[in-house]
Amino acid sequence: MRKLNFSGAAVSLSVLTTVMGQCILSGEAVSARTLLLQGLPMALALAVISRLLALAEVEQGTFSGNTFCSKLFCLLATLWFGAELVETLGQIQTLCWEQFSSMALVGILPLLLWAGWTLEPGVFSRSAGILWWAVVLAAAICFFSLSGQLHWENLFPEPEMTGPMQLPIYAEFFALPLFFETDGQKSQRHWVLPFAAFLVQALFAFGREAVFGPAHGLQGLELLRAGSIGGIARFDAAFLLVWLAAALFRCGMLVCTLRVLLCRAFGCGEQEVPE
Amino acid sequence: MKHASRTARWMAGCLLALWCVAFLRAETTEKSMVRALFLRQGGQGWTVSLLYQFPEAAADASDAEAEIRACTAEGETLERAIQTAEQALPKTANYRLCEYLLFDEAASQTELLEVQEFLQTNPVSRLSARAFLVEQTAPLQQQAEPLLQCAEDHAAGAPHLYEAAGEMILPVVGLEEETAALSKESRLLTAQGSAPLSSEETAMAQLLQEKLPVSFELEESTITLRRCVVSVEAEGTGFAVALTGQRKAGTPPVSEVQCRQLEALCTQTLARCWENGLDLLHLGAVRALKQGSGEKLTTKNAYPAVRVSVEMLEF
Repeated sequence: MRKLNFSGAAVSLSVLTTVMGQCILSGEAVSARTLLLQGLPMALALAVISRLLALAEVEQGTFSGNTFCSKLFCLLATLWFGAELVETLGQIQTLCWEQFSSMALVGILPLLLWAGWTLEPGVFSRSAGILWWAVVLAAAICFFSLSGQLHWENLFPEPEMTGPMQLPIYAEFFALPLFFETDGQKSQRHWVLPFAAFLVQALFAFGREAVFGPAHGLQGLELLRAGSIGGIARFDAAFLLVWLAAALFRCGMLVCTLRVLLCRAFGCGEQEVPE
Repeated sequence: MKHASRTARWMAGCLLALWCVAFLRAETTEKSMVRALFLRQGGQGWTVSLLYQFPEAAADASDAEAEIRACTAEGETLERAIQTAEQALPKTANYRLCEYLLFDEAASQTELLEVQEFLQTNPVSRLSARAFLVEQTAPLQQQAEPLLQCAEDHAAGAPHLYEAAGEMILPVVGLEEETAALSKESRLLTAQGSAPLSSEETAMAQLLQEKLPVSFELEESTITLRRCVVSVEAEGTGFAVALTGQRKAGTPPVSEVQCRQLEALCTQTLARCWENGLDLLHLGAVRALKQGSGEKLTTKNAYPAVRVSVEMLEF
């Protein structure tokens, strides 16, 4: 049976990409201060659940596809990951159309699905490192481009409460052993993933408030657009292109995962791939 | 079996080709790239002028040398006026490079806030777009290019639209028959209204906002400061403001008299801005940081005592 053996960098990049997509395309209803106070305990709770589930899943072989229960879990995970794939494709299409007036996703969709279906998990793991560097570089440039516009006094006024905060919850948090099937220990080390997702959300919220003041519901995209270094004011485009590359990577990875889960749920009897 | 497999391959190939044709048919990079919006609010509604480039400014080619043209329309609402103006464009409007918002000289803070609110739901520009006021004495159609060039050249000194929620000092572009140039005077826009700032006050306001280099005409000589550190400290019931500046290497030193003149100008600018509703140095926030919770100092309070000291560093 085909086994998934993604690297930690690949899984974390995949999750953080969709969190970034959410932050870029939608506004946060709560202030940065509320987000910090409510989000930290929520992230901690998610991390604990993630760690405990990882321990139990490794012991029980939840995603092995050998028993009826295991097949059922695989089917449920397929649905969840499928929904995440649709969500990410939706994010890519929205961004391509709104920012670049392009239907490029429609053009590359068949190739993307084919690549995700046929490529080995190791390919994703190897390309994740390069993408991570690109994302970190783009994020650093965006941060420095905002340096003159971040005003701490904007965080000073008592913000209005406009609604409860929502911490993003993804299937990856609860199915970590599925991604590291050749190394059970690895899945237990990645229980901090909810904290990383929260950190991205908090960075966007604090940046948005420090630049625009206590205005709620602004898209994170406005924050990226605000940056400028000298006469150059289009770093948002560079960041969005890097994000698009990471989002396509995530789509491929999700398709690869879906293939394995579908095979296990319906017992398609694939031959084991030599490592 | 082999025949069926070959047929399936051909069918898949044809489907892919059809997909690509449909995609290429829907995709076009030729657009009317809107570079700036000129917005005026009148009694009847809004007048909107789109300053656009076509066709060379396709996609993100911001440096394309296509002529800048203007297309003007009116409407009862801002949305309606923009939609009408878009209909007159040669190709679909694209606002990706729209980085400047130009307002009529008589614009008020309410007008800017209305535009800010509009942009949150209709992203025809960005909240971080640079805002300018335009003093128009010539038709826009002929002067669109110099107007945009002037905005581009002085973008660093112009405030972002998102700052309109507070108070802002807006640079004024004079649009004349043959040229467009930045005026030395600027305009202070606050909730209380609009007030003009003289050229000296404008220069000092820029210095206090650390938008450098800044030039001052003092004692018949021009002093250009290339660097300046502005430090504000709460001192008793008042504040101490220290300006530590530096000129270009090789220029004659700034005299003591000139330093005292700069101090007086700084005091005058701070007081004038405060009276018109602008806390230029965020004195309220500095006080709150020192005191913690308590009564907040705003421009509704009397102008606090501010001691200004100017010092010049030598090379």
